Amino acid sequence: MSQREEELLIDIAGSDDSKAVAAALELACDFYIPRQRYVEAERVLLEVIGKQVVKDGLIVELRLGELYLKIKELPRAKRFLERVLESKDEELRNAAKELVKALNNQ
Amino acid sequence: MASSEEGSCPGCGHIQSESFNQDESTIDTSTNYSQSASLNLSSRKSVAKDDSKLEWVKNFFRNNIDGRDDEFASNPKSFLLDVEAKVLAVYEQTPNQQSQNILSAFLSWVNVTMGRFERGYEYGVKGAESEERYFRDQAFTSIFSALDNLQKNDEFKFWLERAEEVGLNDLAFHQMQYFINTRQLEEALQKCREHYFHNPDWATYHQARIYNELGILDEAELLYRKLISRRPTEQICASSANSLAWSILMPEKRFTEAEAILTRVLCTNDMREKINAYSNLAMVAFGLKEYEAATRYALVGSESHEVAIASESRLTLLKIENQRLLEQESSTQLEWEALMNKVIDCIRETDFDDAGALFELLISSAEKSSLGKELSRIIEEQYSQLQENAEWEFNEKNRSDIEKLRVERLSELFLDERRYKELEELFLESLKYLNTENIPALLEFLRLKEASTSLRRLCLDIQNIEFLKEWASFEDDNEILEILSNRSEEPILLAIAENPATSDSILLKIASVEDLDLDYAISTRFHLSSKLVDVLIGSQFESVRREIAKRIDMPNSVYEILATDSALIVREAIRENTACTLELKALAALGSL
Repeated sequence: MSQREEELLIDIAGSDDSKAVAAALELACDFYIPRQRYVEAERVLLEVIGKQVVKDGLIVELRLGELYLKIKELPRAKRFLERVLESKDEELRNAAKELVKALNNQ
Repeated sequence: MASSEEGSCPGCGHIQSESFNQDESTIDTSTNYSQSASLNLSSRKSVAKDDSKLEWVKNFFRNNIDGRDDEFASNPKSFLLDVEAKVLAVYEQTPNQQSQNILSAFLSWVNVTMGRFERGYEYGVKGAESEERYFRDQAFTSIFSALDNLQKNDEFKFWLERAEEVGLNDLAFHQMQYFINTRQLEEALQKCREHYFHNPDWATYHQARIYNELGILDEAELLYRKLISRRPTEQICASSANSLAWSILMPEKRFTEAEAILTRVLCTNDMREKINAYSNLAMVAFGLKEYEAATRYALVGSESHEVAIASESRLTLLKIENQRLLEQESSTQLEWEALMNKVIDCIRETDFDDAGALFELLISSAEKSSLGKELSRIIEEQYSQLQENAEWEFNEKNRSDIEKLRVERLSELFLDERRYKELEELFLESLKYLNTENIPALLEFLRLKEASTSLRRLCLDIQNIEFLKEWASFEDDNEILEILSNRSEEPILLAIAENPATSDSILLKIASVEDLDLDYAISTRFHLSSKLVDVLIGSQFESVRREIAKRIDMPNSVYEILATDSALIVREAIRENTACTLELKALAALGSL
């Protein structure tokens, strides 16, 4: 495990929720997913869903939706992406919309 | 799993205790009847006037029980069996009554925690005499827990009155439970508010539980959701999410909603609630047939250091595999054998609460594997393995489930293979577990002469009406039919009335009941003795007398009586009966004018 990974794990377990969310996203997207450690990626993301605030815009659900697409768990992907359609963040909403559209066309 | 549920959750008996400010001398009854794991006697203030009398029992607790909280937390059942054995070894040797009362109170808690409610109650009654407030209260709590589980509301009420007399702490909590059991909603809510006045969140949580238990699910859901809207890292939020998911959303198959609330609370700081949430998510994913995800979430629970949680998670993993093989069109015998072997491994280390479900999986997977022909050997081997479990002797409910599964499957096998001696032995040793069941294989065996009279006599203890009805329809042993005819249930008596083998004396007894269906059944039998005919022509039911009038095997004296019957339908039957003479028909016609 690299030092950065350790630091991120500490942040995830810490009491600062916003730091935890950012750390989980970085750990999942920059470390675990590129190395195909999908189970670990899912776990760190799931365990910060509840720590998001409004400004996070449901980005964790978006990343989970993308992860489930990658591992071909399509119904799960669709459910998580559909949650992001309620996001206050337009960019995230649009990203989710495109992915859901692509899923529906499959 | 739910959190803070009544006694134990459906799976592992996982019990959540909540914390609230309390006097050190009180028992934590905050979560139904769960008990605090803290057993340290030395922290409890003694109120005895002469403390020296308790030195012996204090030393006993210090040397055998105190400071073992971690052990209790990780494997409660093993700990409880161990401490129980130690207490029982010295129980009769206590130096004074007070010390024994304290041990009784402790044993009441041990037994109730292990689900042995009758025994827990008995020890509780003795422990309630303790002059030490902590142990007296512990005994009372065990009594209430036992009576709650045994559903003895009248005795519960009696003990509430006694508790009030002695000024029991947390009386409102027990009163609340009484009102829940007797379905008095407003009173239960009132006591809930009274008990939890210092903690509005837990008051709301338990109000939700009250509504839930009384089947008012909409209200329960509203309250749970109110708590779930709190900060997800808080325990109350996670507890509520687990309870809502387990008790309402999942049974209603609202899996997507359950998933949404459960994923939100995975960030909780409470490790037990986190594992609970993963366990529930596993079941949700299972319900959605997303077996890969279900497996991932169940694996989280299987790593728990708490034996019960790990065991339940392993069971979930096996159920997932079982379901996958069932749904897969091309599952091979080898795959089923692999599953069977995993089940066998789990049986060795299972929490006994999961043993019944594992045993069922064992049988179904073995049947589909290449070892199907060795099924009876496999069943008996694993049955013996389960008999080694420490809870075998006293966990009656789970033991009974296992016995039933064993008997049902083995009896079918033995019957198919005409292994009648083994079949007879199997039923003789296991019948006491079947007395509410309808076992087809047993009925088939009773049709055969190979089933002994001893077995037949034992079957008379079976209470299942469907079973008794069918048996009564073909049994030809007069002694057995005589005893069966003492039953009051009409379906059974009807079956006896229609049974060609039933003797006259039994039929006369049944006819004396004066029931239309019974009399009718007798009147349409192939052969009727003159005594029976005499009774039936005097029946208060016209339709019964008509049936006699329609018969062609009656003596003229009978037709003569019926030709002047008060009922038109009876006289008409005489007129239409080819066995009646013209004179009799004319007599019947006269009566009709």
